[in-house]
Amino acid sequence: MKAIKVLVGLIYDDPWLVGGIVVALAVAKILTLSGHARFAAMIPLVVLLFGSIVLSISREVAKNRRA
Amino acid sequence: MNWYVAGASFLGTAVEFVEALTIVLAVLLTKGWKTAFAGAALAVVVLVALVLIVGYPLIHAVQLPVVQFIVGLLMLLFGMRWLRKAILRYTGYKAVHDEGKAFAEELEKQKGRGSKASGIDGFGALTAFNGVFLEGLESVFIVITVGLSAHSLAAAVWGSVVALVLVVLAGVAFRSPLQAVPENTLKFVVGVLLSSFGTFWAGEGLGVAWFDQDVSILVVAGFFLVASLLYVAWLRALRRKALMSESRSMSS
Repeated sequence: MKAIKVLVGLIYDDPWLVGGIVVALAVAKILTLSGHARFAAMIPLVVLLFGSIVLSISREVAKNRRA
Repeated sequence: MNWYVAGASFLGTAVEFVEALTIVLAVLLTKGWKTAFAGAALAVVVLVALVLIVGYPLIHAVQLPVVQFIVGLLMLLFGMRWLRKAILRYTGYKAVHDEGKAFAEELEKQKGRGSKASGIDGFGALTAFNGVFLEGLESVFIVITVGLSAHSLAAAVWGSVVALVLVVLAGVAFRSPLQAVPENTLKFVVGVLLSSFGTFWAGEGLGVAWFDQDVSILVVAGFFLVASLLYVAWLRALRRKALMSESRSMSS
């Protein structure tokens, strides 16, 4: 129960990070489905996942500057 | 005893056990031994029950990619959140966690709750459970596959048991030195590790072909580590510049 609460809280707290993870996984799935790019899917997956952290932190930094 | 089968099982399962140990150690160091033990023990009980109830057909009954994707996604959600927080703390955009104060507050909270407080963090226990369950499941698959293909299940089981004992002993030996690491550094490293395992497993579940299989976890971890350190350095420089221009405008 607590884990579910934390999970919902995580999405609510940081939708950019969760959204970035979902996009990265969706892109990886599309690349694997395209057959020939199956092996190449790992690089966009890793880069997009780190990109979601950068996106989330840059929003936090911008918020911090405005405050 | 078929030594080739025992050796193959030992090597194959040792890799899985080391991966599980990494996650359990991460939970142990950040959330305490009770949490890590509860999650790991529950995973072992569920695994043993599955093996006893389903037996050999387990290898066909469980959709491993589905389990990998769910566990990977959870690890990603938790690991990347920790990594994000640790980066913000390193760069000064978030206050560094005061462990002593947090402990005193937690103690007060626990006292208020009375004897019901168990000291087990549900979230950490779930992480330990996920790691041990998935790696344990993969180990069971290795033992059954190697054992049945060479008609020597006993040798495969023995190889796996020796690997488990050695990995657990290594975990006990490494626990104490790791406890001396500062809290934010620990959370940073744990964030990198959980994010790397999460990326690998979620990718496996989706059908991503990894370069050199499990070795990719090290490559992904290396990428996350280097990219995060560079990002921390860049954010620090940015903050220093902003603070300097702020103090300059205040003095003028």
